Amino acid sequence: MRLLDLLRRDGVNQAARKKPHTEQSWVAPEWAWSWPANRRILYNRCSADPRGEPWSERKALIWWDADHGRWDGHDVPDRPPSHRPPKDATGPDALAGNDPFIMQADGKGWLYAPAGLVDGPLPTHYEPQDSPVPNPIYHRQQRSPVRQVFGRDHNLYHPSGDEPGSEVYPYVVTTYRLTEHFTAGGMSRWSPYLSELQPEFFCEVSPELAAERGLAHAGWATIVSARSVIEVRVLVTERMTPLTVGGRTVHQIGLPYHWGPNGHSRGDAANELASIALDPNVHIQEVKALTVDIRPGRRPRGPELLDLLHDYQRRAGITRQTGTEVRG
Amino acid sequence: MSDVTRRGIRGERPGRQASGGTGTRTRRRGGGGEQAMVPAPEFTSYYGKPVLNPPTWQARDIAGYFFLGGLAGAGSVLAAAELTGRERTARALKASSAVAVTGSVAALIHDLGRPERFVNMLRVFKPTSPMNLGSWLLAAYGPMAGAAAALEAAGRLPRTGRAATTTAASLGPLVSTYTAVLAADTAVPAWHDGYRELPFVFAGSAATAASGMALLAAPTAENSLARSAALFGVTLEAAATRAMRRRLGMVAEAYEVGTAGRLMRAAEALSFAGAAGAALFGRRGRAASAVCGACLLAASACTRFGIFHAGMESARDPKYTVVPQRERRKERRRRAGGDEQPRDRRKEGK
Amino acid sequence: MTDSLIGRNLLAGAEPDPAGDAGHADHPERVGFFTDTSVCIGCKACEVACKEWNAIPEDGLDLTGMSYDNSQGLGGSTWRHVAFVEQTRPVGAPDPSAPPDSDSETELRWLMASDVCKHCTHAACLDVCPTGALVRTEFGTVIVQEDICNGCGYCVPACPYGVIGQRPDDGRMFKCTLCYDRLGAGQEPACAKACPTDSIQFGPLDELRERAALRVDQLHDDGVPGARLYGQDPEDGVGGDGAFFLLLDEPEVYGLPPDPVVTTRDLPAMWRYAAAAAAGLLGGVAAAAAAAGRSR
Repeated sequence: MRLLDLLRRDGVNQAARKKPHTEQSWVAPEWAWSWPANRRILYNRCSADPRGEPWSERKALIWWDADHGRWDGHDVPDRPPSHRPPKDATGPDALAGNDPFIMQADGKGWLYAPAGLVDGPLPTHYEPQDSPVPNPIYHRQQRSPVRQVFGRDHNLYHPSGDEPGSEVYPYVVTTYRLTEHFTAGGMSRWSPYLSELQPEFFCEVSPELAAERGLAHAGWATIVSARSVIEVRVLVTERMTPLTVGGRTVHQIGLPYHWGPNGHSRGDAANELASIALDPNVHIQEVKALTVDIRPGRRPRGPELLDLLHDYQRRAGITRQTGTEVRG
Repeated sequence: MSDVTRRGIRGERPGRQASGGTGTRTRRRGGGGEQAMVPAPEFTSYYGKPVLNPPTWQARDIAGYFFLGGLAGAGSVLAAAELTGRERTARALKASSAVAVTGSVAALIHDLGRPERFVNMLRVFKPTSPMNLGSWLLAAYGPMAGAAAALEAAGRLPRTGRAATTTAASLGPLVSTYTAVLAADTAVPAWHDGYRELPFVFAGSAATAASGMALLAAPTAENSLARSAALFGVTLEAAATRAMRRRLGMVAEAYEVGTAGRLMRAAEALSFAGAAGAALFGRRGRAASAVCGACLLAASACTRFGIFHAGMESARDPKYTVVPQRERRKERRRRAGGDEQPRDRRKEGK
Repeated sequence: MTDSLIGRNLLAGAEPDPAGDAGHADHPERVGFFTDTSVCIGCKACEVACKEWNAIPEDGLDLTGMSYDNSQGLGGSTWRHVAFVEQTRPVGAPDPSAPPDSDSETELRWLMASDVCKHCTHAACLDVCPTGALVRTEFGTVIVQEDICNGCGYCVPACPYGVIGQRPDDGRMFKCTLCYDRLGAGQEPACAKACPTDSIQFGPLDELRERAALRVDQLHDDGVPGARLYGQDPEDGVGGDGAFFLLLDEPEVYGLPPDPVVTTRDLPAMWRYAAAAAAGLLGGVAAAAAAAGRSR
């Protein structure tokens, strides 16, 4: 069937239809068109067992009506449970009636991924590029051996885990969003109404970390990585808790990443601290987990900032090779 | 929690009926093992922020207006002293009242956010607003005081002048005390909670100021009235202030600390010095009585500014609002026989 | 049909029809807000919607350190203000919903509440306004007529909740209008429309009060004993608020007064004392004159 035929079924332009949710079921099949078959929930076949009975009557999405030999339910189903493809079928036609993962070649959900992943076939655990703790699963493999790294002077990595120098950057940073700003803040920081709701770049630390590093609530702090030095206001809050990892305390620092040098509300950019280390499959940089040091007070400007940066690098013994190993 | 059944969604609640939740648990290092029950604090606030919005009034304008208004009103009463033969006292006080009420109104207009709209004060006649009634009062009193002074200075129309003086003298006391109602008719604890005594404080302070002006500006031969009036004013003010601070309870602290405390203590000292000095040395000569007069004027000003600052402080610190109100609510519940704690229906077995 | 005003105390106590008493004949039902802080998520959509609709200026880019509250409080340029309170206490503390557990655990709670003008039945700001700029609308709400206000500032310390404030570069006083212009067009106020969780509910006041009573009971059944209504009682010190709240802790935790009373309640007594003091002043000076005798 051509797409246009599908769309004009019932004599209605399905894609243009915008029936409000108050006039139809919560699945909303008559709100626009969900290509290709108006299936609203992908893999909805999973909601029922191989025979077509819902796994739970409290979560019944589609079910097989044996009396009438058809599916019934709230969403668009695929094949009858008893359907078995002919031997010479190829592509999606080769899927059986109890293969729920219709986007996969064999219709199954994969825990073992024999194709399609550079770092398959089984999931495992590697520590992030910068990490304060050694990999608890593999003593001799800290990071993913197939990650993409770029050993440059402006992109130096940290010693991690048990490597000497990792204690120079002992704390973990995680970056996140605030409700009041949007992504990098390029739009929201120019809105006075949003800027006044969260006017300054701040970090969130636990009272324990504040005591350890002498940070004052509503004061300033400087955060240092091997890539850059930034300054933030400090929010000391019990919502941040010290973690216990590998038998010792690891403190975390929360950083919203909405700030930059322009707009009504200005501040340093959190992502200045991050390195470029890419995941092997889709080449996304790892900016959500890194290690840093934090100290009270505002950061230096100009050449003094570089002095501080290099001082830290020296103390940690960082070279262009640090953290770039494939094995180890 | 809602279910998706074969017949559709069941048990769905709109967002506003969501379960409130009881918070999250966090595991923290250390922490006291023997932590006893944390007692409910007697006083909490929202980060120490004021509950009220402190007045936008400037001290110089509004406390100045209190002082000048009191001086003018009581001065008009004393100006009726011409009936006792004190011609020069009367002349001085008529002039000072006219100047003072003008200054008072100027201070009021200066304090407005939109001074060009001052006429809107007379747009309505509104009994629930002391500032509105006060505007009408000043609109009646001001011309009377002005006429009395002008006719005195020009030496013309004595009967008209006498009528103006008498009218000013009859309106004067209210001019001196209505400002206490104006201050008390707010939510400011240091002012509102003292609403019974504050008019007497203002009356006494006004009498003090007017007597001070008389001592300063009139010849010694006439100043026995001023000395007696000073004693009256100082005594009334002191007694009323004491009574007010006793009634205020913990709010009285606003009159004792900081700028307010310094000003109230200065007012007390200056009043005493002025009145006692006048009583003892007032007949000795112009210089002595002038100094005493100046002390009394300064005392009255200190009182008004002290009261103003005490009010600002009591609005700024949330404890003055929260603590008395908690007490009042607790007392009311106790009398009604109800329980203080909110109910947990699950414990009651519904 | 309004009742006669004669013989009634209009300064305090229950007043079922403030709009009618203010002179509106054939007026619509009284409307207001029920702000249920138990479902507030602290998104501040109400603050933004209010500022956008009413073209209110930005009023301060200061990080306060007061959790996520950088708006600080209600004023001339903040008509909706979301309060954030982080509370922790040891689990051993009295909380019937908490099972006993290890001593090193604490319970963390983050209270969020959107504050607004209460549109009191007995509004002190309205009572003390000398120019008549503050008026009661036909909906029972209280607004400032900005072409009349001369910025005298009397309403500011009169309000027991600390709502109304001055705009410094303008000089006049401003506060929430309950979106009077939207009400006239049959729409709900901007903040209520924007609120994603229906924490801010708008409607006829009677209906809101019923709904609130049911909600408090529901929360008590769910094991939230600290839930309570604030400002819904027509017998309270301001005659009940047009905008009332469901709180999860004491009012002062949120910066609200525990027991607000309209100052005008005591006004008749104040005038009596002032009259007595004035008489006392006159009498005192007369006595002084008698004591002093005639001039020498």
